Parts: sequence; structure tokens; C-alpha cells
Amino acid sequence: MAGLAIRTRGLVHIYHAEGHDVAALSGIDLDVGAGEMVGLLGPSGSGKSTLMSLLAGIFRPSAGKVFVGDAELSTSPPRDLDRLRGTEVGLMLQGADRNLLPHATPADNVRFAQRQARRAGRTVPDPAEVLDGLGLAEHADQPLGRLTPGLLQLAAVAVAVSTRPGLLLCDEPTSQLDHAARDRVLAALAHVNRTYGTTVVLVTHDPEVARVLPRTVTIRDGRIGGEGRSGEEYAVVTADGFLPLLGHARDRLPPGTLVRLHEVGDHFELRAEPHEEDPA
Amino acid sequence: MRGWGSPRAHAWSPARHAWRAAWGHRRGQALALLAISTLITACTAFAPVYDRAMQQALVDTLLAQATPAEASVTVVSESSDFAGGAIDSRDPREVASLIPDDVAAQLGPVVLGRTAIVTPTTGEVPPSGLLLWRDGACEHVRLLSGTCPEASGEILVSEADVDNFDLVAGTALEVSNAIDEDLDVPLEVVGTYAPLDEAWWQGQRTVGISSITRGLEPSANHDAWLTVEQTFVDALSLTGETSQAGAPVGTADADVDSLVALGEGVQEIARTMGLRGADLELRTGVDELTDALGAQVAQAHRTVPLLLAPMAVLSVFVLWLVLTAATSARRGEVAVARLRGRGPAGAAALLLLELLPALLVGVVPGALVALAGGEVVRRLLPGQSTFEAGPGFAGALLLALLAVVLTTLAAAVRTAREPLQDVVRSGPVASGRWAFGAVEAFVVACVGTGVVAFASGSLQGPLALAGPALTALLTGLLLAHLAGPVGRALGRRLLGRGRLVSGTSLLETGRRSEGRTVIVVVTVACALAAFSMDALAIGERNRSTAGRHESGAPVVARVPGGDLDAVRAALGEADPTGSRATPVLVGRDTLAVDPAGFRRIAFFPREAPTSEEWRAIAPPEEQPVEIAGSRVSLDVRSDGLNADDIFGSEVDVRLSLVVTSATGVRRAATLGFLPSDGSRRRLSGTVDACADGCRLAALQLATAQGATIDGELELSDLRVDGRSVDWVSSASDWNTTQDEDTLIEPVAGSEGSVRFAIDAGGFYPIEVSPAWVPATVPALLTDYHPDPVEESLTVEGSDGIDRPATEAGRLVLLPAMPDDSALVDLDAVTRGASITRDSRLEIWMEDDPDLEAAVRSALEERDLALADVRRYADVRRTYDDTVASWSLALGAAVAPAVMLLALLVLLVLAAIGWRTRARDLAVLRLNGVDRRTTRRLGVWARLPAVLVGVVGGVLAGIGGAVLAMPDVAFLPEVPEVPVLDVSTSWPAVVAVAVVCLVLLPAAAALTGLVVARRAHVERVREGA
Repeated sequence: MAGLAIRTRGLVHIYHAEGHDVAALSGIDLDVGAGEMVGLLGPSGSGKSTLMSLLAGIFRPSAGKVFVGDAELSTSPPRDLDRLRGTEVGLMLQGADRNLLPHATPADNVRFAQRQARRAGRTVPDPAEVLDGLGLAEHADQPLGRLTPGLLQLAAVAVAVSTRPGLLLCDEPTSQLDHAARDRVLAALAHVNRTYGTTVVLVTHDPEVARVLPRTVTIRDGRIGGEGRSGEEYAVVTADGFLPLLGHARDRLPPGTLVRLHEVGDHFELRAEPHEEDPA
Repeated sequence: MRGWGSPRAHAWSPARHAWRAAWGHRRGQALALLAISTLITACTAFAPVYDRAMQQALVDTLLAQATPAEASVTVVSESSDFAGGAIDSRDPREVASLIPDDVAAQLGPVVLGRTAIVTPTTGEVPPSGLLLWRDGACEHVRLLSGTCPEASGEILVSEADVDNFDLVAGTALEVSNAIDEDLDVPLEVVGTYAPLDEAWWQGQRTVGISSITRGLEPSANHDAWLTVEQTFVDALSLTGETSQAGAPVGTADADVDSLVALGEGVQEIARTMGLRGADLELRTGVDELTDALGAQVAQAHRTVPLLLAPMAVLSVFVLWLVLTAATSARRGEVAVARLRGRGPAGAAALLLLELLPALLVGVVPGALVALAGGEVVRRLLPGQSTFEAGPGFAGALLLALLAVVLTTLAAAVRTAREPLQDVVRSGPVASGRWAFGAVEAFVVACVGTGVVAFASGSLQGPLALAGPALTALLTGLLLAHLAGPVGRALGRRLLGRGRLVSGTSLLETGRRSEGRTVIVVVTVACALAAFSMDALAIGERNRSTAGRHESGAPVVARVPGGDLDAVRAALGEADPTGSRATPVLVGRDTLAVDPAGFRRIAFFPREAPTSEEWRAIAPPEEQPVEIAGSRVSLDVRSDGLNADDIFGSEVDVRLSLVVTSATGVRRAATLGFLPSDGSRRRLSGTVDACADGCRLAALQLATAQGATIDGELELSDLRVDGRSVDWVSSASDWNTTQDEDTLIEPVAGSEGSVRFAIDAGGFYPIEVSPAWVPATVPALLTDYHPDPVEESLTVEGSDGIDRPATEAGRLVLLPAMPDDSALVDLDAVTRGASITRDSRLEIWMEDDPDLEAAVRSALEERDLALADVRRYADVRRTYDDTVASWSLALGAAVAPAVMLLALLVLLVLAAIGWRTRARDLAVLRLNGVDRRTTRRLGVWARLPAVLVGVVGGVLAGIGGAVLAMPDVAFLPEVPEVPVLDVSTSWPAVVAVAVVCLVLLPAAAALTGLVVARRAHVERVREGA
């Protein structure tokens, strides 16, 4: 199937923890086109994983809307969300073992993952084809305990893409992998994106990974703090007109700095006003 | 096999995956589930199996204890005479037809018979007795001589009849006809017999009756004369003629159902008997047997659930704990399933597929264990009945299956329905702090309400059976919830003082939910163990008390007649020490004993008299006046003595001496009439049987009934055969006789004489006795002996006449006596008194065959015999072979089973949490805590919770027992005397407490040590 587009509008998510409300996401407007491969970047606690969970329908947002293809997840009933995860959305949690049945082979895990799609009448690829496509053919019927971490992660990818989902969500798919394994996993994701047109959204901390992605979105303090496209980094104006500063500009413009925006021809200049001494 | 390497396994197979997961990778857990399922099924299914085995054993016991007459059903048609005619008894075949086929099918072969009372027309004292025909009787007697009767009028007689009435073979005699004396029935003796096969005769007594009673009204009885039916047919009518059809209950193949059905059939016969004819009568004890069966089965239906139901509930609770742990361990798989599109139902199905098979498989060995237990029980219980599962077995299996499936379903659904965001979280679910959740509050409120209702007596019927379990559960829940804050507070305080091990252990107990679980489970398990063993011990105690009270002594035997001196002489010969056998005189409500021997031999199960009380019932120390000879004379002087009848005319007053020639044998020697007022006369008379010496029992005055005697009488110079007798001449040597009509008061007389002031007017004779005869009999009374309000206290004398008594003490029970009875000194009560048929002479002795043989031999030398021997061992068996006893015996199985469950919980909790615990200890080691300390921390991790649970559980068990024991059936019937003592059996409770305090803490410490040994520093990385 073709990839699924993602669209979020004013996405807010608040956790209730130990009597306090913590805003994990504070108004995310994100558009990902069908068939795109996008990386979500950002420091720990910035809200990347929360956003992934919202895109997978695991959480319901506290406010805002989430569209995956034509489905509006924030109002979909649980049964529809289950069906969506069983057919059109593949999700990889951080840590390969959390995505696999521990006492089954990779082939069995793929079959298990395909079962809902088969029941829904969807055509799914042969498990051997899925595993072969990711270079796991010879490990198809091996116990998971005998697989290396890289192969385990590939098995998790195989399970996630076993139904040819329109959207593949991956949380830190390359963490704790050596370079070779990381590259194999990235190659596999790229293969899925390229071959089947699957929209891929992955969360990563790894700059090396971010560098190879065609598009990255940086989440900072629950907001979109910037985007990278083809190696260029951009600030993104939010729907309410805010413009977050990127990179080293934040160091040079500490909080409280007065800036002036000058329109110069077809572009804008940002000038900081000199800091006035306190007469006292 | 399609295993890991099977490339052709194309489709996803949930069953195959479940099989691999359960048996390939979690075999230990699967075996634990299987074991618990087995235990639950065994407990549940064992109840009906045990119940059935008890019922079958009860049937066998009741039938074995029943007499042949009780264990048979006999329909009798009796002839009757009335003015103007007579009605013959029916033909026995017609009588047999009155037994319905369905009833007859449950009985042995029907035996037809006829009887009549016949008396020969000739002879000095013609004997009366039965003329008897029983179909096939010759096959059930031993022919001692002659031939069996074949023709009308031929009879077989007993050897005793030959001896007593000279009825040798060939003797012809006639017996009278009931209607016409001219139609006497001729009989001819053709042989002698002795009965065989007591069961076949169905209680019909045939021999042992033949006797001749001589005297003023001589009489004679003959044993049953066996004849043929034609004798009855040919005789027009015989006295008291009956025809009958009777059949024994088939004891070999009788079971509960057949006996109950037979009882219903018998009741139906009894209901319709009156409608079929006034001549008909049903004779059977089957209805009483079925009543006893029903009553004891009802007892079992209370006691068995009382012991087994809480254990089954505890088993289900343990299953729930294990399943919640198992499903929690599979949260990752649930998360995978949910992420791959399964809904909660699909995720639950994944769990059920893995967990249920092991549990369902466990039902099979559980059922087999129950059946095997039933077979063991059947072999242990009395009787020869074949093994049966019982009608409730299938239902119990279904119940166990349902409990297992529903518990598993609940546990699976609980995990599967967790919000997806929780289930995908990788870390363990945080345990809650101490707080009452809504569900817990509801549970505690419900259980608390139940306990309050139980304690206040509002919980009645079957619900009351849940009382002890509710008490234990409430105690466990409250302790568990108190342990949270208390443990944390104490733990922090101890940590603050540098007590690392104890502080950390208490803190962990208060912080972790496992600690609360341990407290609840251990409390309930220990409470059930304490309760069940307490019930077992109390049951044993009460059966012992009841048996000892009923039997009175190890062996009790009646001695026909009242020759106490002969019995004493025999016992003196058989038991020279006097400590192993003792004579006892038993009246309606009075037990007269020789204290020295009796206190050693008799049973006083609840309370024995003290030495002071024994001394208090001793007879007076005064010596008796001995009279040896035959001619007695006495000087009598009247002083102002007047005797007038009701018309005012003077009447004579006769003076007699009353003596006892032997104990219990009173004789009166009339001396003559009293002299007129102011005169003196020497009176004399003859006493029989005093050549060897008699004892003066009383002076007796007799005159016309209603006459009045007023004045004083002086007696002196008592002589026997001319010899002066050491006469009791002091006033204090005589008792005062006083009742509402009579006053005879000894007063001071001249030297060598005794003087009485008399004021009498009522019934005669009146007596005054020497002080050797107790004026009032000191008696030990039972607690429930009524205190006389208006009249003075009396006890029954050896002659059946009430005698004034004084209370010397109170006892809960008197051996073998009813509730309101008295214990008196045998010597005291027989001094100067007769021993009549109102009293029964018995010998109470130790259970020693040699002693018994010696006593029999010594009695035989004196023409006495032992009869109606009652043994404690036999009496005790009648209490032991009851449903009440067998039900309580379950306690011996329940206590180990609940201990096993508690151990299982400790092991399962250790297996579930060992990684976390080991990691925590590893972190401590990383922070510098030495290995020895971490091991101590491991050992002490669960000890506070276990110790709290054990102490709380034992206390809850005692509390539950105090409240529930009064409702437990310890004996087959409600006793008429206070033999029941339901107070706590401390040895049993202490034994349980010690076992619990050793076993459970040891298991907790051991598992903690194993965990501590695995607390390697490298394990810290597992949680990263």
C-alpha cells in the first residue's frame, strides 16, 4: 500500500505524575507527507516518544488532532486503533525484545504480526519474503536468544513492516547497536521506505543517523524547535507566530534579550538591542 | 516434530506457541500452576468422595451395631379375640405380599413364619412359651438329637427344656386351643435343637427362656418349640397366634442409597399398614437406622465444608496470586499483541492459551488424587463397602474446573485490559502505597460484617461455617494494612539508629505489596491450621469424655442379685489389693461406691472429686452394735408414753429390733408390746440368721395406722442368748428420726440405758437408728442436680427409697450417671438398709482379661456371674465410628495442606521477585555493604511479614475456634449430660504455632538466602 501522510494540529499532551501536571507536548503542528522518511530529534524528555505514541494511537492527546492518512486518531474508538495498528501502522518500541514474542522465532513473530491483517482480508507478503527482504532468511526459524542485537533489531523491523504498513514508527531503532548493525537497520528502513513507499518516522539521538535522513524535525520543550532538510537546518514558525532560535543563536541571545526584526528586501534581519545599564 | 527448525510452519499457530512458551520455556511455572490446579481440584473433589466414604462406612457401622431385629423388616399379622368371636392371623404368604417389590428387592430372602403361645394342658407347673414355625428353620438350627419335624404336631425342643421339663424325644403332650378346650392340639417331641445363624432368625429369641420359678406363685417358661406349618393349619386357633414375613437387610451390599430408599419404603409401608388392617404390625429398626444415618450425614454436611471450604478458597486465592504474577510476567507479550493489533480480548486469549492448558491438565491428577484419597479413606474407615466416587464428585470437579477457569480468566483479563500505555512501559508496575482502595475497603467491610454477625450469633446455618475463615481473613487484611505504616515507621526509626538489617526489612515489609500478600496468606493458613487441629483435638477430647462417662470405667459388668457381701468376698479373692475391681451399687440417680477402689478405677473425665470431697462422703465412724445369736431380750420402761388410735382408744405398740444379717439384708425381730405407762417389762424375741453375727439397724415401733404415740421410752440391758451386749446407751449414739409426722429424739437416760422422746402420729412402723447408720447421707452432686427449695435434699437409697442427704460437693459429671445424680459412699448408704431390685449391683474394674477371668471365677464359686459387660473400648468405638469423628479427622489433612499452600506462596513470591530483590541487594553491595550483611538482609526480607502472619493467624484461629466450636458436632447426638468441653485445646494450638513458627520462617529465610546468593554486582546492570 502507499504511504500514509501524518498531520497534527495543536497537539498537546499532559502527563499527570505524582500530583503534578507535566506538559510533554505543547502544541505540535507537524505535517509528514506520504512516503517521507522523517527523523524526530531532540534531547531526552523533549516529547519525541510521546509524539510517537500519539501517532501510534497508544495515547490520546490532551488537546489537538492527529491525522494518520484519513483517520483522526484522537477520536477513533479503541477497536479502530487496534485495527489500525494491526494493518496500517507499524510500531517499533525502543529495545528489540519489546517488539517480539520471546519464545517464538522471527518467522513466527512475523506470522503473529500478520494475523490481524490476514483476518481483515488484507494481502500480506509471505513471511519468508519479509525476512528475506531484510536479510534474515537464514535466521527465520532460529530462537531469538541466538540472534545478535543487530539481527534482533532487524527482526523487530521485519515484524513492524510485515503487514506492509503505510506508516512505520520507530523509537530509537539504532540505539545500543554497533555501527555495522546500525547501518544495516537504517538500510532496512530505507529499503522499506523506498521499496514500498512506507512513510517512516523514527526517533533518534544519534547525529549520524540524523545526518542520513532526508528530513528531521527537532522537538524541544514539547514544541517543534526546528527542521533539517537536506543538511540545512531551519527554524519553524509556529501556528501562533513564535519562532524558536536554533543552535548557537540561543547562546548568544539569552532570555530577556530585546530583538528587532527588520525586513530587508526579500529576507529578514534579526538585531539585538544593546542592553541598557540600570541607572541605580 | 515441528520445532524451532521447521521451515514449513507457515501459519501462525497460537496453540503451538502456547505449548512452546508454557512447556518449553516456563516449565517450572507451568508445573507450579499444574500443582495448584491439582491441589484445588483435589480439595474440592475430595469433599464429596470423603463424604460418600463416610456415609458408606456409617451404613456398615450402623448395620453392624444393629441387632438382627433392628436390621430386618418384618410384617406381622396377629390374631385377636374379642367378645363374640376371633380374627385369625393371615396366611404368611398374604403377609409377605404386603412388602412392596421395591422394598423386597433391597432386602434378603423373605422368611415366612408363624408363632403362637402354647402351654401344655398337663403337668404340675406347665411351661408357657412359643410354638414356632419358620420356613426352612431346620437349615438354620443344629440338630442335637432326633429328627426335624415333618408332620403336623411334631416339635423340636431345646436341651434346656429336656432338662427342665423332661421333654425327651417321643414325649407326647397336648397344648390348649384358644377357642375350645376339647380341641386341644397334640404335639410330639421328635428331637432337640440349638439355633444357628442369628441373622436368619431376625432377632427371634428361641432359647435361653426355659426356666422354672418356684415359690408361692410358681411358674415356668419353655424355649421355642419348632414345628411345621401344618401344625398351625391343623390347629383351629392357638393363643396369640401370629403369622409373619420378614427379611433381613442385605448387609453385604447395602449402601447409603439403598438404605435411604429402604427407609422411605419402610415408612411408606408403615403409613399404609393401618389402612390394610388392624391386625397388621410392622416391626423394624430400619427407620431408626435411616434417621441416625440422616442425622449424621447432616452433621458431615456441616463439618466437612467447615474444614475444606476455607482451604479451597485459600487455594483459589493462591492460584490468583500465582496467576497475577504469571500474567504480569507476560506483560511484554501482551504489549506486543496489542501493538500488533490485538484488542484486550485477543491479548487475554494469548495469555489463556498459555496458562489454561497447564491448569486444565492439573484437574486430572487432582481428580485422581481425590479418588485415591477416597480409596485410602475407605480402607481406613470401618466397613467393607466398595469404593464410590459419590454423586457430588462430578459436580465438585466441575466446580473446581469453573474456579480454575474463572480465576485464570480474571487474571488474564486484568492484565490484558490494562491501558496500552501502561502495558508497553518496560519497567515493573509500581506497588501502591498504603491506602484502602475501593475494592479493598469493600472486601474488608464485607468480611468485617460477616465476622461481627458471626461473633454476635446472627450468622446462622451454613453461613456460620464461614465464620472462622472470615475471622482469619479479616485479621489478615487488617494486619496487612497495618503492617504498611507501622513497618515503614519502625523501619525508618531503626535505620536512623543504624540498624540496617532490621530497619531495611521492616521498611521493605511496609513498602512492598508482596509483604502484605504474605501476611494475608500466612495469617489465613495458620488460622485454618490452628482451627482444624484444635477442632480435631477437641473432638478427640469430647469423644473420650463421652465414652468415659458412658462406660464409667474400663470394664463394667452387672452382677445379678444383690449379694453385696458375696461380691465383696469374690473381689477380695480376685483382687486382693482392692485397687483394680470395686463393687458399685447403681440406683436410678444414685451411685454408691467404695471410694478407695472407685477413685482409682472409675473415669472422672471432666473433674474428679478432691480428697476432701471423698472424705466428706465417708460414713459415720461409730461402731455398730453386734448381735450374735438368736434369742434377744431387752428391758423396756414407758415413761408417760401413751398410744391412742384415731378414735382415742388406747392401742398397743409393738417393739422390734431391726438387724442386718448381711449387707443389704434386713431382718426384724419382734420383741413384744411396750409396757403401759410407768411400768417396766423385759421383752424378748428371736432373730434369724444372726448366729454368725448381725448388726443392729434400728429399733422399730409399730401400731395401728393413724395412731398417735406420745411420751418417753427407756431401753436397757440388751442381751443375746443371755449374753449382755455392748449397748449404745448414750443419746449421742442414736440418730433423731424426724419427718412431718414423726419425731423420735434420743435423750439422756440413766446409766446403761437409752431414752427416747417420741411424738408420732401417722404411718407405721417408725424407726430410730443408731448413729452407726447415717441419719443423712453425704453426697457428691452433679452441677445440674436441682437444689431442693422447700424439701430437704434426698438421695435414692439402696432400697429405692429416698433418704435425707447432705451436699458434700459438686461435680460436672458422675460416671455413667445422668445429669442430676449423686455419688454416695456404698458403706454409708447400705448400713442398716436393704438392697432391693431398685438398685443394680455392678463390678467396675480395669480392662484386664486375667483380672476379669479371676473375678468371674471367684463369682462362680459363689453362684454369681457377670452379665451385661460394658467396656470402655467398645463404647469408645461407637463414638469413634461416627461421621462426627471422621469429619473432624479431616483436620489432620487440612493443617498440612494449608501449610503447603503457604509454603507455595512464599516460593512463588520469591520466584517472581527474585531478580528485583537480587538487584536491590547488588546495588547495596555496590555501595559498600558487605556480603554477610546482604545475606542477612536476604534472610530477613520476608521474616517480619511471616512472623506477623503466624502470630496473627494462630490468634485468629483461636478466636474463630472459640466462636465456632459450640456449633461443631463433636458427637453423633446431642449429649444429655454436659460431656462437651469446647474450650481451646492448648497442646494442639501450641503444636501448630510451633510448627508454623519453624516451618514458614525457615522457608522464608531459605528463599531469601538463595536470592541473596545471587546478588552479584553485575546484576546491577539488569535494571539499566
